[in-house]
Amino acid sequence: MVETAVKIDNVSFKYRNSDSFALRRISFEVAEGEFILLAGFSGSGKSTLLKCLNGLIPHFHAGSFGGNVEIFGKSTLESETTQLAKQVGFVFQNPENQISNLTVEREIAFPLENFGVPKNEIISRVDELIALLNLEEIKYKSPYSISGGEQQLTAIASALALNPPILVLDEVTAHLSPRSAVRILNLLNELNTKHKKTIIIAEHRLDRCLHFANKLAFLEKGQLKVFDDVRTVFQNKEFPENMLPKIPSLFLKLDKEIGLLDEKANELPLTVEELVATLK
Amino acid sequence: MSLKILEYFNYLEQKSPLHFVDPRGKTLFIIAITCLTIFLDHIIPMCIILVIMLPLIFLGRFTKRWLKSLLFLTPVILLVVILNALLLKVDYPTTKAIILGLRLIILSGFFGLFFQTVSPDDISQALIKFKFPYSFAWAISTAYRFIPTLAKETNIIIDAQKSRGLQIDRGNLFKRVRNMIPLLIPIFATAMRRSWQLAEAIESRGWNATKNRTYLYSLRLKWWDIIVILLSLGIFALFLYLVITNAPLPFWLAYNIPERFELKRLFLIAWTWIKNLFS
Ligand SMILES: Nc1ncnc2c1ncn2[C@@H]1O[C@H](COP(=O)(O)OP(=O)(O)OP(=O)(O)O)[C@@H](O)[C@H]1O
Ligand SMILES: [Mg+2]
Repeated sequence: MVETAVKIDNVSFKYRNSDSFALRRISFEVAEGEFILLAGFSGSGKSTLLKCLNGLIPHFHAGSFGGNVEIFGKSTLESETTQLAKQVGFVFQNPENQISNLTVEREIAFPLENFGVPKNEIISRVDELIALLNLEEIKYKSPYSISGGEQQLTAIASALALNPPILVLDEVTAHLSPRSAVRILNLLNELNTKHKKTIIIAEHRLDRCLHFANKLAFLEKGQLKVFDDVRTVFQNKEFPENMLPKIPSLFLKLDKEIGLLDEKANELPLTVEELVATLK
Repeated sequence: MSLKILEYFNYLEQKSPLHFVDPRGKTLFIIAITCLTIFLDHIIPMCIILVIMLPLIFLGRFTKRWLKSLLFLTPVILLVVILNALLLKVDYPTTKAIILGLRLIILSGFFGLFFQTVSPDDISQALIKFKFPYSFAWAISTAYRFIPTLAKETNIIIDAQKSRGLQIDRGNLFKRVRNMIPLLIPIFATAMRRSWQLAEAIESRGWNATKNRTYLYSLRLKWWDIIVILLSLGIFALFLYLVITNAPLPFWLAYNIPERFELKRLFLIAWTWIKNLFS
């Protein structure tokens, strides 16, 4: 049986210096090994929701927190963010503001050092991650002399250092060129399929990653409007039309005009290849 | 004077032999050599130190930058030497003035070399070895690491405010100071946001998770570090010996520029010569 990795139960949160709730009564579950996409307009509460997953909310950000978040059955209220680092790896939007060491190698070693891992184990773990993410060439470089994409890969490697089963990413491709973004999203797909990581990601480039996601969550003004399988979620009326990714929206339009959906309702195509195959 | 001179005293990421010397050894050395240079009061010993400094500057791959920094310093040093030679009321004023100039050259050389070969990371690791808390050492190296980012950001903010019509380098002093406010507020705000995000990022990766933090790299004294430390202690011992005994130097080290070459006298001769020429 597949375990429940994340259980979010009726979570609400209001920042201390704000007068409206950033999250309102949100509930959903994520099974181990799933790839979850989180969509929503700016200010809808995506970052806030993700910060609940590793305890930054409510431990780091003051405010009124209601409900409960469980990571593998254990409430985040019971452990500090620092300890949750072993369960949940977190990568932030701005690569420059999350790197704090002088070389890539040492940035990856940082969490291991924090947990008092013996030096020889740190060395082998760092090398493992460097090989996995193809960072050999920048191993000894300063985080300032590498590209934004490489900085973000470094941040991902660092988040993976403690080998957490869950990886949470907050708009990690927002500052990147399309090419670097695709490289990162493909890496996440590999981490998900090959290394069985549970991945929860807030992402704008839906077109680039829909096809390897399992479910899509849509937030609006702090409320969870839609949470469903990627193949059926776009037929939900709650999903805003201007946010529809290209291929599904094209298909739905074609369907409206010509009426294809009846027999293919459960196989909404997500990529060009799938669209071609379906139309044949 | 331009702040550009500071550029020659920055850490430079390269792999010179001096970069591999333990920062504790280098610190000891710079303290010892500074004490000795300030205490010594004769031209020949100063020249000896200068001659010893040259190969070290070469070893530290500092030669080019050092020469450039000298170019900056030369006018200052010349001014100091000439004024002192003319105005000092001691025996042998020209000798003393030249010693002052040599002292400036030697100290700027050694300190430039020191800052170029000791990385901020070296400093934080040395602090850890001296049992400072890790968070303090981390703050030091992180602050240094963010200098380029903050500089870049500050330039962006300045450009942005200029494009909205802010005039930074116009008007009287009061006006200029007042014009700084639209710059300082966004600079401060982005720095604050940055530090919050950084705090979140380290918190999410096990900051302070255990008391027994381990280190991928830590300082360890090698044989050459022992030599540097012994050498520094030797220099320091020499300094103490000279201070305590106040022993006179042997005559061949205690050379002074003879009276007839005193700068003041040469000036006077030149002056009368010129005067005679016109009368
Ligand atoms: N530290 C904070 N203090 C007070 N209010 C905050 C804080 N962070 C976010 N908010 C508010 O909470 C709401 C949700 O913000 P959040 O950052 O979670 O949105 P988001 O979906 O991640 O947006 P974006 O796409 O711009 O990153 C917003 O109204 C925002 O103004
Ligand atoms: Mg956000």
